[in-house]
Amino acid sequence: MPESRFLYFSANQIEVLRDKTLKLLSDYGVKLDPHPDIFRCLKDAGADVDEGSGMVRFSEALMERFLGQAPKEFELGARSGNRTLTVPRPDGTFYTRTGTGAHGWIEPETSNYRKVTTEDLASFAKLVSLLDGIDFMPFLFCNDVHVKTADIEGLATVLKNTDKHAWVQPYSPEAVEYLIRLGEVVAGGRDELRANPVISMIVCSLTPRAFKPLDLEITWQSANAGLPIHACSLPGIGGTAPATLPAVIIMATAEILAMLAMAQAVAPGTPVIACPIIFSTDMRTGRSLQSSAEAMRCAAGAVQFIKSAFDLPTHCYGTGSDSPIADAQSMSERALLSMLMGTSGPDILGGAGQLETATAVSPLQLIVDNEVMGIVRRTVSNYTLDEEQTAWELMCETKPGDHFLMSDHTVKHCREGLDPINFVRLARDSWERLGSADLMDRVLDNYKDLMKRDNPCLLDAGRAASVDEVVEAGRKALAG
Amino acid sequence: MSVQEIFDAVIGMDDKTVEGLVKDELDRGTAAETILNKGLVAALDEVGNRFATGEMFLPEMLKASQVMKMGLEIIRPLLADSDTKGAGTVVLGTVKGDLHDIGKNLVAMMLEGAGYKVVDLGVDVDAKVFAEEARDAGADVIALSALLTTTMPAMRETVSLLRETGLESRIIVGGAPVSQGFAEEIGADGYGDDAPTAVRLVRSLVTAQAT
Repeated sequence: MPESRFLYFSANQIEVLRDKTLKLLSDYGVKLDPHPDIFRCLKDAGADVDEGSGMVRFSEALMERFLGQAPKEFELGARSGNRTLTVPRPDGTFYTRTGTGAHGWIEPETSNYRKVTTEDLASFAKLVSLLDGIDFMPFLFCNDVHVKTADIEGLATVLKNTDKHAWVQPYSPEAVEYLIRLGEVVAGGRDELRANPVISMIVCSLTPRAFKPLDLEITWQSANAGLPIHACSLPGIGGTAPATLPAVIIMATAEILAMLAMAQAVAPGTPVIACPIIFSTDMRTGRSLQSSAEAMRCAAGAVQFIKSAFDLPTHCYGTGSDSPIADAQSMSERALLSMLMGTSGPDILGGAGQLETATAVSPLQLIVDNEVMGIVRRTVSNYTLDEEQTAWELMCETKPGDHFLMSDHTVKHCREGLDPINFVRLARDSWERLGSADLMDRVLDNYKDLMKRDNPCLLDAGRAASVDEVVEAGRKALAG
Repeated sequence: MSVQEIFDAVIGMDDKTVEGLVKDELDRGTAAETILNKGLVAALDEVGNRFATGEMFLPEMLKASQVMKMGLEIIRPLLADSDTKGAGTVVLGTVKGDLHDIGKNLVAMMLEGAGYKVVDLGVDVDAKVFAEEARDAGADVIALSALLTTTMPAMRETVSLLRETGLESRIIVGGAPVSQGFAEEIGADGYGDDAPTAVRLVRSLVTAQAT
C-alpha cells in the first residue's frame, strides 16, 4: 500500500478518531431509505436494523468482521490486459482518473464554455487513451441525450473510445442493470466481468449519515455482480458536516465504513475503496469548494486516518480547482492539492481535467494534469538503497573537485529523469527565439498533435454493436 | 437598559439575553413598535449591511436573525398586523427527483431572517405540489432548487406547469448545475448563483411587483 510521506496524527490521535468513528456507527448509526434486500442482508449479518425508522447500527465487532472480509488487494480490470490496475499499485504510488459528471466543457481552441456533448466525451476518452499518465476515467454528463439515459449513453461512449478502466456513476436505480450489462458486453459475459471488472461503481452517502434508494440499489447490484465499489462520502465542511475538521473526518469515515458494511453484507469479499471527497462551505456564500485550504487539509487527514486505522485502499481528489478556467489560480490550486494528496498516500487521485469545483472539464487542463501528476508520482516514489543507488565506490574514487558527467554510472542513468511534455527548460533567449509561447499555447499545440492521431483504442465493431443494443434497450425501458 | 442593548444583543448573536432584555424594556413602558423598529429591525438591517460587506459571515448572519426572531416573538402579540405583515411570501423546494436540500435550507433561513414568510416544501417536490402550495399561500415568489444535472428537466417541467396555471408568482431557480442561461431558457424570472444572491433577487422581484 502507498505510504503517507507525512502524518498529521500521532498513534494516540488515530486511536481517538477510530474509537469515535466506530462509536458513531454502533451507538447512533446511519439511516437507509427502504431497500428490503439490503435490510435483509444486514440483519442476517448481525447489524441492528430498525426497518421502520431506517436506522441501522453496526457494533464494533461486526465492523471488524466486515473490515476483515474486504480484500486488501484486487484489480480494476480493463479491456486490454496491460491496462489492468492492481490495487494497491505495485510501485507504491497512485493511479489517476479524470473528473466525473461535469456538464460544462471548455473548448480547447477558443476557451469558450458550453455544455458537454457525446462528441466531446468521445474526444475526451480518445485523449485519455493517448495520455500515459491517466489510468482510468468516468463519463461526463452529456447534454445532447435523454436525461433518463445520460449515464447509459455516457458509459457506452467511454467504453467505445478507450480500453482503460471505466468508473461508473449511475443516475437512477433503473439504469444500474443496463450499466452492468455494458460492462458484461466489453468483458465478454457476466462471469468474465466478475473475473475482469472493466467497470467499477460509485456509491455515495447523503451526508450526514443517510443513504438514498439509488445508492442502495447500486450497492445491491454491484456487490452481487462482483464489481469493485468506491464508497464515497462528500461532506461540506460547516454545511452538511461540522465546521471542525476532525469531526468531518470521523463522520465521512463512518459513512464510508457503513457502505463497506453494506457491500460485505450483500456479498462478502466485495472490493471496496474508501473515498473521502471533501468540500468546504464558503462561509460568505454557502458555495461548495474543493480546493480551499480546509478541504485539502481535511482530505489529506481523512486519507491518512483511514489508511492508518482501517488499512483500506483510498481514493480522493488529487487535482482540480474552484476556478472556472484553466488559469494561474487553477494551476496553483491543483499543484498544491496534487502534492499534498500525493504525499498522503492514497491509491487513487482523481479529478484530472476538472475545473469550477468539478462541474466543468478542459482537455487542455487534462494534458497539464497528466504531466503534473506524473511529476508528483515520481516525487512520492520510494527510494531504493542498494550499491547502484548509493554509488559508494564511484563517489569515493572520484577526486575532490572533479565531476561525474561522463562516468559510466551517469551514462547508465542519464535518461531516467522525467522528460517534460509541456513544461519548458529554456533560457529566455532561446524561449523568445522559439516564439515566446506560454504554457497553454504549448499545451494547445500538443493537444492538436495528439488529436490528429487515430484513436488506438476503439472498441471492435462486434462489441460496439452489442453496446448499442444495450443502449437501445435502456432507451426503450427508461426514456420511452 | 435600553433599546440599544436589544440592538447590541442581536448584533452580538446573544440568544441568552435577548428575550429578557425585550421583556424588561416592555416593563419600563417602551412601546412595542419602538422596540421593533429601533431595536430588532434596526439591528437586522445592520446585520445585513455587515454581511454584504463581508464583515459578518453566513452562520453569524443566520444566528443574528434567529436572535432577532426570539425577541420578535415576545412583542408580536402587542404589535398591529401591519407591523408583522412581513416582506412577502416565498414558497420553495427541491424539484422532483432531487433529495439534496442544504442549498435550499440556506436560502430558506436567509429569507426568514430577512422577514419573508417561507413555505418550505422539502425535497423531491412534484410540480403540481409547487403550484397548489403557491396558490394556497399566495406566494409572491416560488423558488426551485436542484443539485443534480439529471433533475434540471424537472425544473423545466415545473416552471412550465406553473406558467400554465396562470399564477402571478415570480419564479426563481438555483443550484450547482443551474445557470443564468438555463433560467432564461426555461422561462424563469431569475437565477441566483448563491444564497445571498437569491435573497437579493427575491427582494427586487417583490419590490417590482408592489410598484
